[in-house]
Amino acid sequence: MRMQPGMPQHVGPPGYPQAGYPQQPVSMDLNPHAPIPGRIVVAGLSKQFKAVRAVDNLSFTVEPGTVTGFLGPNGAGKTTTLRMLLGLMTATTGVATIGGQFYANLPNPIRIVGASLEASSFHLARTGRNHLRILAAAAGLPERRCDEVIDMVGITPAAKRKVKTYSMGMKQRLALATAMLGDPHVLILDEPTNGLDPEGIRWIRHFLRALASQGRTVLVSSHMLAEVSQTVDDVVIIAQGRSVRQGKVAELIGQAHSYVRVRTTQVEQLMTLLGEKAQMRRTAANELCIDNMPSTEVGKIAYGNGLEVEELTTVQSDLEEVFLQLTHGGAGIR
Amino acid sequence: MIALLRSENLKIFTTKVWWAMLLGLSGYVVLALLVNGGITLSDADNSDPSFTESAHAANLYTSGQYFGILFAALLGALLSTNEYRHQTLTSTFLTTPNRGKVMSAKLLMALMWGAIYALFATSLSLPVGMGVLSAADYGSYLDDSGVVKAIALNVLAYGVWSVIGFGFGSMFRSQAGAIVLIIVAYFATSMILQLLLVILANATDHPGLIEVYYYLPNGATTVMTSAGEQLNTLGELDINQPDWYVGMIVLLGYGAIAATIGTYLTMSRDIG
Repeated sequence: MRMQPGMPQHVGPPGYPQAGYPQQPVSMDLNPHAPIPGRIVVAGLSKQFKAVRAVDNLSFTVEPGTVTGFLGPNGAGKTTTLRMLLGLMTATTGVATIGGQFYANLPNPIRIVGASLEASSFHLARTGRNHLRILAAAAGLPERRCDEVIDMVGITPAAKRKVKTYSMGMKQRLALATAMLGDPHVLILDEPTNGLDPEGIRWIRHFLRALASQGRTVLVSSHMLAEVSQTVDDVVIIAQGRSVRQGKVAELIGQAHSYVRVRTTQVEQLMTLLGEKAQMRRTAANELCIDNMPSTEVGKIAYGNGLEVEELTTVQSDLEEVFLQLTHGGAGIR
Repeated sequence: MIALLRSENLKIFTTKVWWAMLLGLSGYVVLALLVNGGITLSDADNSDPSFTESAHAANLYTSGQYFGILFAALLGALLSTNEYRHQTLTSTFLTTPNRGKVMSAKLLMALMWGAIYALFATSLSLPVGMGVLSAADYGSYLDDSGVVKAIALNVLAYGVWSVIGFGFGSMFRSQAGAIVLIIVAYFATSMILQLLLVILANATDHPGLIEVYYYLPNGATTVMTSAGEQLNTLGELDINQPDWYVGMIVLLGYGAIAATIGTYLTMSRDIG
C-alpha cells in the first residue's frame, strides 16, 4: 500500500519484520503449545480489591492481525484487566501473557507492546514532544523517533506546546503516539475514542485498521460498542468483571432486530386483542413493544377494533441496544 | 541504567520545579549569610568560647544549611510524587517494568540534585564567607581540613536529605501530603523535640538526654558538618557532641531507611 501521512508506517527500530508480521517459516513439527508472537492470552484472570471483585475469572485471546474490541460499561473491569496484562497490577489469580511472556519479563517492552492507558496521564506543564523524549530516552530510542510518531498522529504543529493547551482529541493522539513510539507489533489502547469528535473517530478507525492489516495485534477498550463496531473484527464484552460475550462483531450485528412500538391510551385492550402468540413488552403506561409481528398486522388489529392509536412505529434495534442487554443495562457502578 | 538516568534528568529539566526551588533556596542562603556574617563580625575578637575561628568559617561556608536541607528534602519529595500526581508513573513503568532499576535511577537523581543545590548554595557562601572572615581579621580557613571537610559533607548532607524526601514521597504518594508531612516532621524533630530534650535534661539532671538530639536527622547533620568545638555547653550542663563521622553514619542510615521503604512500597504496589 502507498503510505500516506497520518497512517502508521514501519519506520521504527530495525530488526522487526515489515508489514505482514508474524510470518514465521512453516516448520514441519508444529508445536501446538508454542506461544504465538503477538498473541494476547488472558486465562482465568481475577482481581480482588477489598470488597469488590473487579475482574472475575476472565479468559480471552486476541489474535495477531485483528482489531479486538474490549467492551463493557464504565467500571466493568476493563482498565484493571489491561493493567494486569501490562504488569502494572498484580493478578489475584490467573495469568495474562503477550506472545507467551509476561509483560514485565519483556526485555525492551515498548518495542514489542505499545500501550496507552487513559489519555489524561501527562504532566500538563510538559510539551507533547518532551513527554515522548523522556520515554524514548528510557527505551534507548533516537530522538527523531519522537518526531516521526508526532507526525504520524498529526500533531506536529502542537508538539512544542504544553499538554495543558491540548484538546481531548489532541491528548488522545499524543497517547497514540506514545503507544507507537517503539513501533510495536502489539497495541493496547484504553478508550482511544473517548472524547473524540466523529472526524477523530473516523481517523482512528483507519489508523487501527491499517495497523491490523500490517499483521499487528490491536486491542482497544471502549464503553461504547457503536464507536468501535466499524473498527473491530472481534469483541470481548465484559460486565461486572465477567465475560458476557466473545466472538465476531458480525455475529453481534446479526443479533440486532426490529420491533413494533405502539403508543395508545388503551394498552390493556390491545394486549388482550393481540393474544398470547404475540411477544410483547409494556414499556410505559401508554406504550407497548411487540417483537414478533409486523406493524401492518398490529395496525390492522388496532384499527379493526377501533382503538385510538397515537403512534405506530417499526423500531430497528441497534448494536448499542444489544450491548446494553448483554451488559444488563450498564450496571457498572459497584 | 545510563538511559534511565537520562530519562529521569529530562523529567526534571522539562518542568520548572528545579529552578523555582533553586530561586527560593538562593533567597534563603543570602538571608542566612547576613545573619551568620553578623555573628562572625560581632565576634571579631573571638570572645565567644563556643565558637572557635574554624567553627566561624565552617558556619559561614555552610550558610543556609538549616533550610537548605529542607529544600533538598522537598525537591526529593517532588521528584517522587510528581509521577503520582500527574499519573506519569504508568508510562514510566510501561517503558521500564523493572521497578527496582527505575527507583535506583530516581534515587541517584535525588542524591545528585540535592548535591547540586548544595554546590549552588556553597558558590554563594564561599565568596561572601571569605569576605566576612577577612573583615573580621580571621583567616579564610580554606586550608583547614576540618573546614574543608565541613564544606564537602554539607554537599553530602543535601544529597542525603533529598533522598530522605524522595523516600517520604514514595511512601505517601500524595504530593501535598508528603510536603506538609516533611515540613512538620522537620520542625518537630529540629525544634520542638530538641526543646523538649533540653527541658527534660534540666529537669532530670541528665545532660545525656540532650545528646539524643544528635541522633535525629537534623542533629546528625549538624554533627557531621560542624568543624571543631561548637555549642558544647548549655547553661550548667556539659554535652558531648559525637564525632563528625558518627553524624554521617546516622544520617546515611536515615537516608538508607527512607530509600528502602519507598522503593519496597513502589515495587510491590499496584499502579493504577
